[in-house]
Amino acid sequence: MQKEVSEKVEGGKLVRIEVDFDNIINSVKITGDFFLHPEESINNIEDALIGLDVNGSEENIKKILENIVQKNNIELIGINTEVIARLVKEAVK
Amino acid sequence: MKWRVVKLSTFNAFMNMAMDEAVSEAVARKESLPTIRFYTWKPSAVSIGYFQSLEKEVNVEKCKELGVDIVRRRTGGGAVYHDEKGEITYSVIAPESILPKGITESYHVICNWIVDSLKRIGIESEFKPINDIITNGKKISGNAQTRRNNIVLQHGTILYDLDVEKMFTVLKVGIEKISDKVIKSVKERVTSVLDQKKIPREELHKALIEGFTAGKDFEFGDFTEKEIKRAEQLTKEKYETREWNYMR
Repeated sequence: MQKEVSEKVEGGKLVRIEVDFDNIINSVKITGDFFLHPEESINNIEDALIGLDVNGSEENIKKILENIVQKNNIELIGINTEVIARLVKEAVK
Repeated sequence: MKWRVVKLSTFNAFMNMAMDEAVSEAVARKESLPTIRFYTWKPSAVSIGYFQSLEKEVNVEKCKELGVDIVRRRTGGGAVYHDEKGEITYSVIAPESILPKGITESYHVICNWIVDSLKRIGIESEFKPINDIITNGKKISGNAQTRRNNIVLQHGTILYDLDVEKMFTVLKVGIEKISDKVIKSVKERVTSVLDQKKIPREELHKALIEGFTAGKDFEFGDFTEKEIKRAEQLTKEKYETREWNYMR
């Protein structure tokens, strides 16, 4: 199943999440007009979500994202881990 | 630190983006001075941010019909319509060490050069974080930055003459982008230099050169043959390719 959700981050930019899933997340694509440094680390963020149980909590998704952000020294501008986690959870509902 | 200023040049979209990357490489190798360049786009083009979905942001069929090129930038941010006659684009390419360490602060510093430039042609404006410049509450400039190999590349457009109808023909503007404001027409949220002051585009160019070089040690220069050759290679192998532009 594939679903797409998006949100305009307050004071920020548009974030769109497309998720392919069944019982687990198969792939995630995050697009939008935000900034993220280094740019290629978007792939680390998307890859970190692959294999997650769709019944997992939003809090758990956020923790995983925070871990990747810290590990790769990622700077997010106009997007944040909270909105990514929320949109992913909304997409797999 | 001395800067190189390259006066207005005109390339197509792919070559413009390739030039930015080629110059970044040359600056990183210390073969070129930190560089400020000004340029226009011929033919008119749409550039999209690194993280954007090309198909969701751009009306590809309409672009084909109108002969408008489409290119993905190395920088994040939104989709921009670069009208051949309607704007001047700048790029600042410099080692991280000569700009503020923080990305937000460096946006502020470079955007203030634009504010200074606009003041020189009688337009009062201000920097609006994250990456806009506004005058009387309307956006007149958008900017985007990337940092790779300790080199800052910031580029942006200064709107000279805005063709809103054409912009909306080539861009797909999603309802989500404007849903948290009272629905206003784009003409109420975006403005251009010509909207504010009736001056020839060359006067904007002159003001930009003055605003960007104020207080700096600089020299006017051209791209090197090596930079141009590298840009031609990058154009062919990257910026013109479907693999790059349709990446997301």
